[in-house]
Amino acid sequence: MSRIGVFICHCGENIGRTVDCARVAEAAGALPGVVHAVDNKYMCSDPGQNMVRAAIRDLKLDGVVVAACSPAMHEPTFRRATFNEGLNPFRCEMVNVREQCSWVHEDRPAATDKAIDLVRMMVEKVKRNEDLFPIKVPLTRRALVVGGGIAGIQAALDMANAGIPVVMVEKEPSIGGHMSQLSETFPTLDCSQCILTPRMVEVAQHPLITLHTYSEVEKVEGYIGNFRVTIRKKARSVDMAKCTGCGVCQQKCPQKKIPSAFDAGLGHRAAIYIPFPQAVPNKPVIDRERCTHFKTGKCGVCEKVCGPGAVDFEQQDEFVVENVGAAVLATGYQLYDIGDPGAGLRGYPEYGGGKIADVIDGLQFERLASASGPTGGEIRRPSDGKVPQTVVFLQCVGSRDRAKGIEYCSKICCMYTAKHALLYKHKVHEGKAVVFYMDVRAPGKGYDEFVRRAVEQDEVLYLRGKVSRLYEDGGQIVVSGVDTLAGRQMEIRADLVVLATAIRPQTGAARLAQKFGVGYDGHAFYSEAHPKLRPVESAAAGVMLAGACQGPKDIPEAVAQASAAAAKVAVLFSRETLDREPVVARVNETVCAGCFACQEVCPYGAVELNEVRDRQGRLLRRTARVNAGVCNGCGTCVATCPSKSLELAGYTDEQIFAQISALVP
Amino acid sequence: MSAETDTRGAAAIVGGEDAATWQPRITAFVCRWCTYAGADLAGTSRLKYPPQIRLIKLPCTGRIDPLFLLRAFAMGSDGVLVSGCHPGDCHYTSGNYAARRRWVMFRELLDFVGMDQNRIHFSWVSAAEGGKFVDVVRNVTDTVRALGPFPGFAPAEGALARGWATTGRAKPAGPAATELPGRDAMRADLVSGAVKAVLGLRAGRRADHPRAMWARSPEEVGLFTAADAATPLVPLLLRRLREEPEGVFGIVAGPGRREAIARLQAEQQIDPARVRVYERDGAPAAPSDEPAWEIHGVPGPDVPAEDRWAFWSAAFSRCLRCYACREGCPTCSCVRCVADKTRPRWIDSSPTPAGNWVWNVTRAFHQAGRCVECGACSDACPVGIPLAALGAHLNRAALRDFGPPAEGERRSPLLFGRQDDQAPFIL
Repeated sequence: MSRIGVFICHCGENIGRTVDCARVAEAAGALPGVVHAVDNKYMCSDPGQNMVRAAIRDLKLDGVVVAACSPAMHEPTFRRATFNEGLNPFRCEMVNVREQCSWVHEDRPAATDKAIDLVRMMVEKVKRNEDLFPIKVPLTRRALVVGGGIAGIQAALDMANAGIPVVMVEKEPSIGGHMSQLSETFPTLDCSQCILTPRMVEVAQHPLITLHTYSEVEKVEGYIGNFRVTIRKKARSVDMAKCTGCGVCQQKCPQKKIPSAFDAGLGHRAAIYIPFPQAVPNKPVIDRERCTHFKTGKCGVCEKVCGPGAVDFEQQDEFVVENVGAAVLATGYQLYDIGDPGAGLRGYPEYGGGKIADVIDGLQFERLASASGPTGGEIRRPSDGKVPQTVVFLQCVGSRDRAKGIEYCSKICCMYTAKHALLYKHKVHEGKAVVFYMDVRAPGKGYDEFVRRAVEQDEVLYLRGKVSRLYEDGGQIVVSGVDTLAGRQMEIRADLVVLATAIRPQTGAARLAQKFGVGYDGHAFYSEAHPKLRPVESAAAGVMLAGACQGPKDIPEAVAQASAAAAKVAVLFSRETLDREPVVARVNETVCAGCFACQEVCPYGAVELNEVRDRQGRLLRRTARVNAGVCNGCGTCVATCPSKSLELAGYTDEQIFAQISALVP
Repeated sequence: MSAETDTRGAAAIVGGEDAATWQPRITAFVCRWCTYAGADLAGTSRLKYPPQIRLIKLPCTGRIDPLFLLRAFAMGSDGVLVSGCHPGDCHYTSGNYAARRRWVMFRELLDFVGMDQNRIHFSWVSAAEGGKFVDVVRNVTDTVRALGPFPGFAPAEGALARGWATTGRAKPAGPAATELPGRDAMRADLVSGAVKAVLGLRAGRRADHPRAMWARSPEEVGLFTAADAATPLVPLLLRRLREEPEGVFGIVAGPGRREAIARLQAEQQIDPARVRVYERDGAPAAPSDEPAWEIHGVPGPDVPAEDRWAFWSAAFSRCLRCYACREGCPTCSCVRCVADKTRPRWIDSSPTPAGNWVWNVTRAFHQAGRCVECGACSDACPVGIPLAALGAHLNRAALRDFGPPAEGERRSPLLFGRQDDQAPFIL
């Protein structure tokens, strides 16, 4: 016979107000196998926990049921108390009578009846609980960083400086990310590249950082502490060991009119190119889709001019396997494309759908304003190179507009629009800058002051309202909108229009998340494990999040989150081995028929082949076997097994059957 | 246990209460990461919902076996809710994809046998959707309350008298063979020792019912008949292969049995190197496009659900639990059947209405999308339950809902859940 103790918490008034805790204790005390049932004001308090410990000690309990708040809140508390009294912690379970009874029901008798039912069901389960022991798994003290933007760089440097070897994967030919494209940063107007490029160089030179640029994560196997990541190193067509980065190849390449992605399409590059002068690594890559040699088999100029003979047209994609114990995802963002946003989003045909040359987005303006940009830092419009006399900035293009499919705020646009307007006024003193906004959101240190400075010192005209249409007329763009504060229709003839388009996750963000088992929202922003208390971890153990892949962020926030993610990895790596919850599946090998349906549905590849042999070594049968180190305990295999030859520890068929059978008294 | 189960139908519980104040019992099976957390959020937000629901927490919807749902009904539930993470949000990446295919097929099966679909509900509720959880619970409670107590699995009054044929139409015979091909090859292989024995059919006492026979010598090959029948052969072959871990065995097989052998190979039950197939003609293996209810003479979707329930509950109530259907089925290949599992005993072993219902539905569910439609189950059933209709119907439903299997894929489509699977019934 079981010896179970049931403890009902009043949670002050929170439970006691709606649930008659004394009646629940009385009903629980009458259940077979229950030797002790009491109610108490605060079970989680020290005296409350001591009640549990005293009962385990004095009454020799073999099971504990605490009816209180959600197990998400205090299950660790009571399991620890149970463990400290010498009883296996997995013999303690919680019944959620606060979130599931007192807080959601008003009818006291009905809520009390429900609490009694839930307690009875849990008592039946706990009778069948067994001792379970945390699974110790070894740990690879090495971390992966996916994405070489500012968030990835910060996380990598923090970890490497803490002595953790880091593998960084960047899909572009150079690290640096979007920050390397920016001109000056708000609210201090310091030069983006001046603060970023030393960090990039530090990454390249750090003895503990292995850098894979022009590479992507192909496959992820394993689990926290022991990931095995296959990285595809795309063929660069340049032998990195031989190349000196002299740049002669890109000067001689006859294909020079290719729009440069780094210059947001405003400048040009060659078919063999170094993305930008400060690129890390500072070595070129051949764009095989544009290169004459790859298209027609002719040309080959770069190969001829290359002194060290580094150009290698035959190079193939290479696969590298890296073993790591944790990963930081820092894949960043992309801007909403008003012509073709994809992902089921509507574009903005009313703004020209990306076809009007002088309607540009924020990143393009950054390149115009950047000293290293295609105009050398002069604001000249793309169509004819003239200095625009009137520039109109539109905020919330794509953001905060359900009709366009994105309801969230992109967060950084208010600030960078103010910065753009201000930079324009600094460069074109007599010019006119107009901003159309919905709300100005500038909550940050020095942020609101910065916007005020744009309005008051630099005389940027802020108009509250939406623009319904943009169209070309006589070499200018007519901005047709409404000033809602003045309550009038307006038309402004602008020379240049800058759209603050929405921040979206990178293309392929969802695919990468699936490889790591990380959750994501409807827009493919990665989900944090808890919105308040675990903001830099994902729900996939050992995978952290940093930067705009988790949601729109400015630079200081991305850096802070990256450092926090690095700290989480350091905490994880501070232990000798990892303890994992022993909720894992096991196979009853005497009845397993070896159909391996379980292997087919297992999300982790935890099901292995087990061969049953006789004493002569002859193969008798093949059965499945679960690798407890790989199993994450979802139990999909258990429900799939037609003969129920698998069990999930902690959620066995017997336990669930007992719970269902106790639904009614 | 079984007698107790039957009297615990909700009707019995309701007996003493006033019908006007009757409240349904709802049992919810929820995943720990999304819906359980969503219910917590409903609590912390102090939202209100009807108190008739009892939550059972599981790690993932992938862990939820249809047996849980049937057990909940047997134990007095009037309605069941199953809820987990939205597709793409599964804590375990893909547990809910496997779960969704399972539900699509299970729901199809229950609908076919006439169970009211309004008693079983499925939803995706994330940890952030406390409001949605409340809406779902209200909706489910109201729907089930309107239906009244679950009547239990016993056949409805007068169900047998509703004019349905109680046995299925006979499976159309293949072209009548005059001579069995391959006799010479069998004799040669037996003489050379390439095969230890060959399994085939010989004339039985009833002309239309040949018996299975293992031919161990060339002379015995002469006893094989040219006639074909649904007599179980593949299960005998499988048993022999398991009992004797070495040696090659032959089998005379038409297209249907060859398909069954191919499936068992795909499910790693048969080692192809240990089986030699002597091909013969016969009824085609490919499922016809004809609806299952037409082929087997059972109520189709045009018949009201109530009448389908009457038909099938009456049919299942005749079951003797002899398990001839299981023994004759070429793809029932488990070493230990779930019906024989004792800890816990998911399926009552004695022939009670609830036990019979759960057994027959479970057996059919295990064949979902992998039935070879040989008709052996119907053929073997001594009380004439048209069991073959269930597997045939689920095959067609799986093809409709999941599309044709990948080239050469013979495993159950339930194993290949995908993110883009459609299941419009999920709230």
